[in-house]
Amino acid sequence: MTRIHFFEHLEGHGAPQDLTRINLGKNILEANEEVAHQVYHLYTDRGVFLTNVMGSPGSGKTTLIKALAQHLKIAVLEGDIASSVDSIEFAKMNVPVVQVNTDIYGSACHLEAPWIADKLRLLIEYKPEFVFIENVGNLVCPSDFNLGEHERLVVYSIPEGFDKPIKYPPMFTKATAVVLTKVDLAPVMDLDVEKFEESVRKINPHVQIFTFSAKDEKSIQPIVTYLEGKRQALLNNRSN
Amino acid sequence: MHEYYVAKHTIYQVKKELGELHPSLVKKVGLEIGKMSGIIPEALEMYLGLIAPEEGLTNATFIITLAPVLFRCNDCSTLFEPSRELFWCPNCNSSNVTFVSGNELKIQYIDVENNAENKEV
Ligand SMILES: Nc1nc2c(ncn2[C@@H]2O[C@H](COP(=O)(O)OP(=O)(O)O)[C@@H](O)[C@H]2O)c(=O)[nH]1
Ligand SMILES: [Mg+2]
Ligand SMILES: [Zn+2]
Repeated sequence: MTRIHFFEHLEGHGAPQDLTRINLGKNILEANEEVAHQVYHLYTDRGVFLTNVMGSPGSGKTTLIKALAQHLKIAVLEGDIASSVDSIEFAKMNVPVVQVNTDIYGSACHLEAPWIADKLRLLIEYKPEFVFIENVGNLVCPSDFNLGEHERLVVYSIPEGFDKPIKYPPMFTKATAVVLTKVDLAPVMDLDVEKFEESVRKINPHVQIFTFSAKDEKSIQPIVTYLEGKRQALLNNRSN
Repeated sequence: MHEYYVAKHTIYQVKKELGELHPSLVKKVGLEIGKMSGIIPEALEMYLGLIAPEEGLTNATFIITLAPVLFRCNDCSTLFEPSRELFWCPNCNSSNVTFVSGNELKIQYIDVENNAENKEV
């Protein structure tokens, strides 16, 4: 039987005589990390900026990536439990896209690097400058699985309420950017944008926070500028 | 929700570390799970209990240690464990604080039985 010990200090006193202790201190997800690092290095070497887009179902991930596609040379990897609804949208826009369905991986609530590495290698052949991974819609599970990305972008929509960053901190502590979407709904939903930003900064003071509305074409521009800057920094670092 | 996958990874990683050793020799596996990892320890425990015997770890006990969430104050360097709602420094009340740790998902050790060859299998 498995046992569980809460709030204990790590047992550092070694094993009994008849046992040999293998000390590890290793990441449980090492197999995932290894593949993620390969992807990271491939993308870095090729100067392609890789963004892992995460957020709840319906938060506006696809809408945001579609808006970015109007301004950036992108390719997309769509992760969903089932269906290709989102990838068909991108194909219609002539954006190179591959679909990964996690129903063959037990309907996983997240993506893992080994499941998508081949497809990410394939997307590079379309010579994009940016690749966006639309992760499975979920505010908890995807955050533990590094996919080799340069940027971790959390899409969070006004109707989700301002307290979620504190209720679901793992996603927000690891984010490099948070896009608060559907701000056109702010008056209806009574959500205080400043209060939201404050609650995100409490757990991640250095994160970039943007606001976006699909109803306001101009609102994509700061995000475009930010991502272009990040890619340029990647190219500069590479040539040093 | 992803505890099942973390349990799978745990067993995979343990078996990889064992090399030639038989999985049934594993007595104890020490895991360190950060309280901010997004993992519910009880759910992880349940899946480990289901998967471990199927994968040959028939004698293993998993000891799950929860690692605290730690923040550091950028103004006075105090290291502190925040409460659910309070993310400011208990020493100087500054809200200029940085997340330090609490995301861990680690295998700390594996205890394996000695003298396997002397035992009847
Ligand atoms: N009012 C409003 N609706 C939006 C906005 N962005 C997305 N939506 C709508 O929210 C729903 C879910 O969006 P989608 O991009 O598919 O979310 P995803 O599941 O995260 O990919 C769709 O009906 C979108 O039209 C926005 O900025 N404002
Ligand atoms: Mg979508
Ligand atoms: Zn302080």
